[in-house]
Amino acid sequence: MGPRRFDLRVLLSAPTISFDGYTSNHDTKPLDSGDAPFFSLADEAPTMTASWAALFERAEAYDIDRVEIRATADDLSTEEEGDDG
Amino acid sequence: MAERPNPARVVADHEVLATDLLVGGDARDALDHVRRHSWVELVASDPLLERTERLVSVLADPELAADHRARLEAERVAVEQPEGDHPALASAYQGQAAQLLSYDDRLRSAKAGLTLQPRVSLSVRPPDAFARLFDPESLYEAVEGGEYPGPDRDPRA
Repeated sequence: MGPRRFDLRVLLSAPTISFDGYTSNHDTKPLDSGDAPFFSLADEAPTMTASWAALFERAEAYDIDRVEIRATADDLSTEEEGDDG
Repeated sequence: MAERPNPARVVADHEVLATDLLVGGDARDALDHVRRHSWVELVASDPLLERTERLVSVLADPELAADHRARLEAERVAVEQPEGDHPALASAYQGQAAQLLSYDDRLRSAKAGLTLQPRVSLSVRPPDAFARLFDPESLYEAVEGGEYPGPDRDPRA
C-alpha cells in the first residue's frame, strides 16, 4: 500500500460527550497550529510486515473462542500492574 | 454540531479488533467488509490501538499483539484524541466515522443514545449486524459514485 494522505480538518471546538466515566471535552485546540491537519500518513506510511492470513493463523494456536472483557482502561492498567508483580 | 459523518468510515472497538484476530466469526466477517474495499476506511486513534494491543497481549502473546498493531497502524486512518477520552467513541467522533462496531450494549442503550445523538450521528452496532447489513453497492454509490465495481482488495493479504 502506498502513502496515503488524509485531510480531516482540525476541530477548533467540539461538544462534550460523557460516557462510561469518560468525558470528551474538545473545547481547546488539539494542535498548536489551527491549519495543521489532525494527521498525515503521507510521509510515514508504516510497513506492513504480516498478512492477515498469517496473523489469523498464528492466533488460531491460542484456541480462543470468545473475547468478552468489560474492562475500563483503569481495569486493564491494574491487570498489567499485577502481571508485573 | 459535528459535521456529517462519512458512512464509509468505520471504527471497531478493542474487543471487536481482538475478536477479529483471535476468534474470527462475526467480527472477522464485519472487518472483512472493510478490508476488501479500499474506499471503506478503518479509523483508530493511538489509544484505541494501545488498548487493543494490551488486550491481545493478555489473551495471546505480546509478539502477536505487536504485529497485529503494526498491521492495524498500516491500514487505519489515524486520528488524534484528547487524553482521557473513550478510545472508540473518540476515534469515531474525531474521524467523522458513521459506524462504530462494538459488543458493548451499553453504547447502544437509550441512555447512551440520549448522550450521543445530539452530538454525533453515529450508528453503534454489534459486528454481526454490521456484517449482515453492509451493502457495498448502495454505499459505493453514495460515497464514491457510479456502479459498484466489486471488492478491490484481498482481505487476507
